[in-house]
Amino acid sequence: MLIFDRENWPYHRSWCLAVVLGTVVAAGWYLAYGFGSGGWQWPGGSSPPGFTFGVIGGLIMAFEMLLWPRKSLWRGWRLGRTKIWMTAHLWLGLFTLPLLLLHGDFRFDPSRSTLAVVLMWLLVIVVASGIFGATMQNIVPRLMLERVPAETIHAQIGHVLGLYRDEADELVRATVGEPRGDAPVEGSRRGGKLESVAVMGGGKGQYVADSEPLVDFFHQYIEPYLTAATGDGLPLASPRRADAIFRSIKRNLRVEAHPVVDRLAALCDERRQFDLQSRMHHWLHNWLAVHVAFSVALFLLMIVHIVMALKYV
Amino acid sequence: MSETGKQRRSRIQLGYYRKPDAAARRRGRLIVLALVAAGLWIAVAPFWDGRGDTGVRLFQQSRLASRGPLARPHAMWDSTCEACHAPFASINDSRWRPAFVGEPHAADLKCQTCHAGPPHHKSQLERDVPSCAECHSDHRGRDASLLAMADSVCTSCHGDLARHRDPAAGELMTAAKVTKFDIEPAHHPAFTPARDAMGPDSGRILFSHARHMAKGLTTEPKGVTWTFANLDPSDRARYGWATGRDQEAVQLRCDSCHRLDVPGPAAAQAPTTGAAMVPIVYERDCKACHPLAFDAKEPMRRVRHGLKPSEVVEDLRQFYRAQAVLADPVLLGRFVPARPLPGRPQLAASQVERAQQAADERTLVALKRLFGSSSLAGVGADRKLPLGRGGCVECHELKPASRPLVDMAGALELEMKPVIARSTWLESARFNHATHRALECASCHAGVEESSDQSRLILPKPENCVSCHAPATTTNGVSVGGAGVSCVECHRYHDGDDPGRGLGATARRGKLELSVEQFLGGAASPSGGGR
Repeated sequence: MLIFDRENWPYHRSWCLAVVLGTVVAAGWYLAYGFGSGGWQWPGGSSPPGFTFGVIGGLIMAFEMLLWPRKSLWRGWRLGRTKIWMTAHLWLGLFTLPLLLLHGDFRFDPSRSTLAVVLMWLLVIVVASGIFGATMQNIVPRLMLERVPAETIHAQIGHVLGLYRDEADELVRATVGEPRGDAPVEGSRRGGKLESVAVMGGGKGQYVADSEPLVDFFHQYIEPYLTAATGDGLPLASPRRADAIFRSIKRNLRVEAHPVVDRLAALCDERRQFDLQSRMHHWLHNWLAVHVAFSVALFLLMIVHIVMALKYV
Repeated sequence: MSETGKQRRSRIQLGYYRKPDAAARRRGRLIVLALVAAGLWIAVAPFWDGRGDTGVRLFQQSRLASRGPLARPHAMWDSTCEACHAPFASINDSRWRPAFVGEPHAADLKCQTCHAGPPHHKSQLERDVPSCAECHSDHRGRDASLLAMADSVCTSCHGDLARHRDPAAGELMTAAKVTKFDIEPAHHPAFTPARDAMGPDSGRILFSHARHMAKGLTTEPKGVTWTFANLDPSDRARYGWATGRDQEAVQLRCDSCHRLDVPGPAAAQAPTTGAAMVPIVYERDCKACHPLAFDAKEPMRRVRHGLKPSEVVEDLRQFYRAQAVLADPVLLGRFVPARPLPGRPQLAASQVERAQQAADERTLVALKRLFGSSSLAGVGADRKLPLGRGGCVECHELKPASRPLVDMAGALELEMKPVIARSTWLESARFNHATHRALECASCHAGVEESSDQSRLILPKPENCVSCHAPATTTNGVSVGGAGVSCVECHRYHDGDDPGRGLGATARRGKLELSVEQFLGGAASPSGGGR
């Protein structure tokens, strides 16, 4: 969800102001109460402001957790627009940090209640991972749009690369005259001269004489690059080096086979983009695993904290 | 040739979204891991404590919910929350809590298992009585004081005391509004001495600090200087004597008489904390210069201190009659009828009667000397006091004071005005002289060396205290204040009707008597609740 763009910011501005205002009011009450007895006394979690902030923070956290079923179990229900839920999740979640820091009187010292301290650290991790995620979601999609024109569905990258490998294999075989059983050969040898070459985006090719080096080239460079889990570290991962390699193979082939090499280069370029997409996808989505896992732990321990706090109030 | 979207789309598997991708699977595993870890922690922690001091604080139940270590007196219950807490009942009624957590003062019963503190004041209102934990806040560390608290717990009532006391309790005997300690009367009242000591009081000792603090104990330009030679040799060392200084003037210091501990073997019998000065006692503090000699021929004979005038009369009469018998033992063998025998003439001036008369005359002379009807001239001339009075009236006032003593009957009618010998004058607060020992006495008891009016109390004022007991500031480069200024620095709560004294350990004994095992297991509820 893009926040700081011209279209969305006016929508978020009121939420942002509400959070800032709420934080200022909460801090003001906290300070007034702390200085109320003359000198400064840290208002505890059960003081009037501390208790109030704890209750509000707990309710917000319960609401935050509802986003999970809202996006999975209750997807079809009429529970308000997802955009509103996400906005509320983001800004109210941010608001819990000052509220619950005040509730826990900023104590991160483990000599105090370990449960309270663990809750404080979990809260910081959850909010920090949320802020990180929101930031990534404001930056990475734009970068991806610019730098990964071949973007595909991340989960399908492996499948698409498999198709690319098959296409490259078929193209090379057709070019060197070793068609696969199910692949028709177009064109024919006539006195050792190539009559026509038509390289289609779909991977079909025609025989080109003296193209045998292409087979070794395919097995040495193309196939490993298209079948590896990640192309990083392989010779074709570097665009500059790949360009040199492709120019080198072209020198060993007839000019009629050059379009085949260009197609192979295009497939490798897409592979390079998929690697970049994977890295961006990592930054774009993996924070969520941390955010959700720690949120679940935080919520569970918060319930324990509430029970214990009420039991030994 | 660039691909079309349709070509790209054709490469995507239909229904790919039905299977969770790697990121979703990773997320799911992490969620399960987080749940298991959190659940295990909560489940394992209660059993981990049995392993003693593991050093793995994370797993110690005592620190799971505890806001911090208990103070040392309660440290044995670090892991036994129910020793002090009544489950789902507030231990501190001033805290905000959900409505279903109620039963005010429920946990106080736990405290009272061991602490039966007396009520604060007879005029207090029930609704204003705080729960124990409202003032005595624990979980602040081993060395935290359970007596340290915010002033607000006191000023919540004392800030406007009229609204927080029983109107039927009578006149308000203390300040109606106290908000904090400083020299502003609107914030804190002036120190008020004990009520029976207010104003000039002729019943006290006739005493001049100015004379006693002067060198040689005289303030007159040509007065008689009191030297070490005037003191008994056994007393001289206490007042700074050294060999060769017999003729030097005695110079008393405050601690020549005012002491924090009883010197000598008495210290073992009556140890003091040093908080208050031990009362002045004649035998220890006055006798060296004020011996109660009464007969020039018997300079070492002394009247016992502390007797009533009538008892002094009887003592002296017994003494002189015994002297007569010792001088003429024949007197013991002569029968003296109480009334004339029938048919026998009255013996008007028998030897016995003459001896008795002589003894009574000597008694009267001694009484006149002791009670001020005659000069002490001739009675231990070398010990004559600078004022030349001596005897009881050197320090005490008698009733009636003006009538001359002409016979023994007059002596029997004499009455000594009572002496107020206090160790504490400002009873509403506590003060520890020992902890302030670095200061010279006059820094708080200003003007004591010039005071010759025994009826004037030379007590500290708030101005004396605020030099140290004020918020820390720097004035002209000099640090001022910094010592505690909270109410509990000086005041206590549980002996409000008898400030400064309390009711003693017996009155504070808990409501139950526990075995050591019961005690360590946690306090029981006096109302019959489970342990």
